[in-house]
Amino acid sequence: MATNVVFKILYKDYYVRVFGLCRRLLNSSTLAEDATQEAFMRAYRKFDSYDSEQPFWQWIATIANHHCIDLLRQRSRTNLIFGEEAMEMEAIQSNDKAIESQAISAQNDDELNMAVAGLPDKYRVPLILAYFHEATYEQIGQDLAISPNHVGVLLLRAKQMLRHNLADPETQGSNL
Amino acid sequence: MTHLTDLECSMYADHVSNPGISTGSIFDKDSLAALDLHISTCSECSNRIEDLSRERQLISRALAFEDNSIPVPPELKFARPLGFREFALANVVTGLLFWLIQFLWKTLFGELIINGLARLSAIYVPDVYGMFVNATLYFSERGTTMIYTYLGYTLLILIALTLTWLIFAASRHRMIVGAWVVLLFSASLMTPSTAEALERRYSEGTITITSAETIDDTLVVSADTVVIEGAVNGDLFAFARKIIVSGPVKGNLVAFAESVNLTGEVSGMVMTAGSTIVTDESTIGGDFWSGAGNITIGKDTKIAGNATLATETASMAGQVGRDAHLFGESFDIQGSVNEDLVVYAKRINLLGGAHIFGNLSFHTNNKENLELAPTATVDGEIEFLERSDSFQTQSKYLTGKFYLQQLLWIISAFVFGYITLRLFPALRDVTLYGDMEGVKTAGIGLLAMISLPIVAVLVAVTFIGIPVAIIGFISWLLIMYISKIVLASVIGQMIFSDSERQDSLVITLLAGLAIVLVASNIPVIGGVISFVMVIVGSGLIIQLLAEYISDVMASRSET
Repeated sequence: MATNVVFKILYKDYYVRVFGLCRRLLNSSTLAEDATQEAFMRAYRKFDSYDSEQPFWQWIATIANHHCIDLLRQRSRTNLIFGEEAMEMEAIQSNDKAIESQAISAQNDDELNMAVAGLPDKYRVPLILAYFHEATYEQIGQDLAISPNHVGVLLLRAKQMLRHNLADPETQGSNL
Repeated sequence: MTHLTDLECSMYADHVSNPGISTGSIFDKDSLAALDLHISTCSECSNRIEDLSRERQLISRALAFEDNSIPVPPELKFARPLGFREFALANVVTGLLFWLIQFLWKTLFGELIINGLARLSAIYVPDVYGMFVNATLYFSERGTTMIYTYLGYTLLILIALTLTWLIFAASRHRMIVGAWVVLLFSASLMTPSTAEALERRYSEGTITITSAETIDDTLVVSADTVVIEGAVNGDLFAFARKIIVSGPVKGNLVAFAESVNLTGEVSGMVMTAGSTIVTDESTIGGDFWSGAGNITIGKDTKIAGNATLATETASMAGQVGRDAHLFGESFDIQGSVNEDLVVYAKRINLLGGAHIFGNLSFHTNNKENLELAPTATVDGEIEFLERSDSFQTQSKYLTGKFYLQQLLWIISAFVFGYITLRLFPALRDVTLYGDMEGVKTAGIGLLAMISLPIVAVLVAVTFIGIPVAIIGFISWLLIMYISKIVLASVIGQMIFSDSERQDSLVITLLAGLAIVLVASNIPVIGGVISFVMVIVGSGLIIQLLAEYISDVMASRSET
């Protein structure tokens, strides 16, 4: 019963944050509600194995990440949802430096969040994991089954696309 | 001087903002030192890194924004809605389990036990030596086939599981997956054992097994008219309008028909149902069970075991090796019963030549209903037992017995429930939804209520599988019984949801049971409410079991 009480407190404290993570990863509030529920259910069942020395957020966020990535894989038609590293490398462009870099700086939080939501899964997910969950390249690589270098490439591509979309909203979503 | 690439800048900026983010594998010690050196001397790269770091902080800050207006669901919903796929999977697992148990029972123990019991019943005392000889002979004759069959079944199960897994992996459409799984399961159930192969014959006309023909396996036959003149070395299952069996049957005989005529020898037991059943010059090695409008047991019929007849009228001139139990309107007995005769009937005539070696128990309200011919003999005692034809017309709510029964129910349910919920605390964590999920839970319970007995009946198609079917049926009854207790626990927790008493098993269970008891006994609609409570409770249990199985599979896949 004590476990129940503790977990209920943690649930109330972290629900919004986990929901935010799931919503950003899945790009859907409806799916995020279910995913958050599932993440807490899994956490509840594994609560005995939780090391209280570690931050609860890291633990629950990892569970939520795994579940959301599984869902993304399920809804994807291909296993290569994060693309091939070589192709992504080729796509990296170097013509967006100074001007487009200011595009991000000029936005408020809401606009930036909307722009992040507009990114494809393969760019949005590593961006969320790196800059929201603060996961390392190695952790992200393990979660997404790609190399750490590939993670770096995807993050760069994500930021390029963000700049491009924010600087020129008319061409949002076009392939860079 | 070669400036840093975009990728290096981006990664370096991540490293500067959060040194943990790109540890080790991105920059080794030497390359990081070289980058540091270059950036410290190159203002262009340094500015760019600075821009990227600022950019990163902006993105992180934006992402960290929490919408605190999002409502937190008031309580954890631990009972995940069960999908069709999970339910189909649970059914398949249950089915495979039953199938495997049945198979093991059938091949390894079934015949041995039956042989042993048959032997015991023949000589009344255990003959260890005889059983040992039987077992040795059995294994020496069929051991190899049994091993091959076992391996074949194991292989089949593995193939089925692999196919199921492949279908799961390949398809993203739940309904298709579910349909495939159910199809696979149904097909697997239809597959007969190679050692105990099944021969099936169907026709809309007449099927005849001629005297020149021998069936070495169990025969299942269905037609308008079935004529068995040849030998059947396994069991015989016949379904027809008219069945005539004159050939020998080494196993058991099950016959359902408008008219059944048995003149052959059956080594096992006979179970028949129909309008008219006639046996003549027939020898039955086991028990004889029959339900019909009219039954005639000819004078040359010999039944080695017990005879149980449920019929309107019957004429029994043959010999019964053991007890005879008769249920019906009128019986004429001319033959012999080696042990006791028990009769529930309006009238019984013991005609001349009738011989009852044991006692005669006649359940009747009038001793005149027994006609005993002068030459009829009853070696034991004749006992008349009163038969109650009147029913209680008094309202059950006005009797003390009713309240005593309810008290006993609530005490037993509480004790049983308390122990069960202590042993399986997960049963307390189930959640009952008030919306469509609740309806789905009830639907799952209803399906389980229907499907479990069906699985049990499928298993019971072979007589050797009957014990397994009985186990399945008992499990089903157990779920039905526990369902109300689980639901009572949920109701109790809902009542005390805003109180510290929510965690008290005793209080919540007692309160829930009291509500369930009262609701079940509401005049007129109490039965319907009780039924709904049973299917909802069963649905909750099935969901929990399926979830548990799903978790086990998930944890295995994770490891």
